[in-house]
Amino acid sequence: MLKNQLQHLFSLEGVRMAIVIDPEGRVADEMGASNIRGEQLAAVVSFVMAESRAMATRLGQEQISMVFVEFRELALISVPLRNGYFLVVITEIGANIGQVSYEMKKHQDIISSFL
Amino acid sequence: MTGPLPTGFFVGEMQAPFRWMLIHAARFQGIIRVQTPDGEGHVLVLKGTPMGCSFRRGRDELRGEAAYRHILSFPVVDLSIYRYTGEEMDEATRILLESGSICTGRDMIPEPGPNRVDTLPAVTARAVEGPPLTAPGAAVSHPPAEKNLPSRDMAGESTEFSAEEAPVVLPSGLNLEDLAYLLLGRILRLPGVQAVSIFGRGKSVLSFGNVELDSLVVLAEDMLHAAKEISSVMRTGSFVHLTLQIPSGKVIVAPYFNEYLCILTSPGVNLGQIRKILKEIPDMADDGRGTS
Repeated sequence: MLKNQLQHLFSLEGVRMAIVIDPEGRVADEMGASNIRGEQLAAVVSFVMAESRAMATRLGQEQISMVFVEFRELALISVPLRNGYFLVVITEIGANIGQVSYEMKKHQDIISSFL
Repeated sequence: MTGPLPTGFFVGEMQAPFRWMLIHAARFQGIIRVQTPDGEGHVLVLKGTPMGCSFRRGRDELRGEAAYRHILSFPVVDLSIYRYTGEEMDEATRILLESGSICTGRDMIPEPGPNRVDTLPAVTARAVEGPPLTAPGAAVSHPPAEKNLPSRDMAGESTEFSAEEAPVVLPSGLNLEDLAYLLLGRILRLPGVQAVSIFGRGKSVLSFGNVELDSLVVLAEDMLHAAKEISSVMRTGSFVHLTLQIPSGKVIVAPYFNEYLCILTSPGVNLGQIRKILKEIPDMADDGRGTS
């Protein structure tokens, strides 16, 4: 189940939220911090992904592999899924970003299979 | 070139902007041998201050300030560092003096000590053509040249990032433009980095590399604005950087004082090395960035 996959990502140390966003910028499923407004976050993150896609296209690439945005207090990692969906994980600063992104990529296909 | 200088004790080799090297040589005395694409030379250094300099460029030999200015004109140079004893220092000074290679201009010598700072307005910097030549002891004033590093206060932005619009204070001997050259040179030297640019308001202010970035900075700025929107829905703290990873490489966007850096890399680049340099930017700014 999709929830189980998100639960796995959420269980990684330093992860505050794992969320799957649909092509229209709405939450398909989420797991994590209740103080983060998933719908609003989905809308702005889909905006980031759209701009990132524009950059990738300009560079002659049809796909993006990952978008990583770091702030002073948290980081956001986003990877594309099937059919325009994407998976976003929000971590605390100090989380093992290498491990989190590895797990995201590892579960990318499995999560896509539920969409 | 200048006559045979004392060999000294070999300390090490590195690639770095020469001015950066001096900043980190506050307790060093010795000779720094310099290699550039067009020749080689050496600089006698005493506690972070260039005392004498000579440089051979083909058949030409530059001496003193001319040689030093030529070395500073390269963003990054190859350096071999040799420490001198007091006696070796005296001997080298005598040799350089006899050959007319002593640096005498006060303006070319950075003040010793890392704590002294010069205040510069956020968008004003001296021209980068190097310190002006002066007759020994002559006092020269440097009218600040308007530099086209635009400030976003003029764009009327009101995000939390506007808090960065404080007067920038830099370590002595550096201005914003020097710093930009040093930083871009360091980044460009990293394996896998293809191009690097400083941009603001959709325009590239300064860029280096073998890929033309001017047309990309508009898109980089769009990504940046989208990423900043995340702060409107959750508490994030200030923006640190954005990395877009695509099969053919990476695009990294990060703040640079009142502007932004855009770095284009191949897939195999060591992001850690880039992030290490990026982390030094706030450090450099925090050292003296005023809040008034």
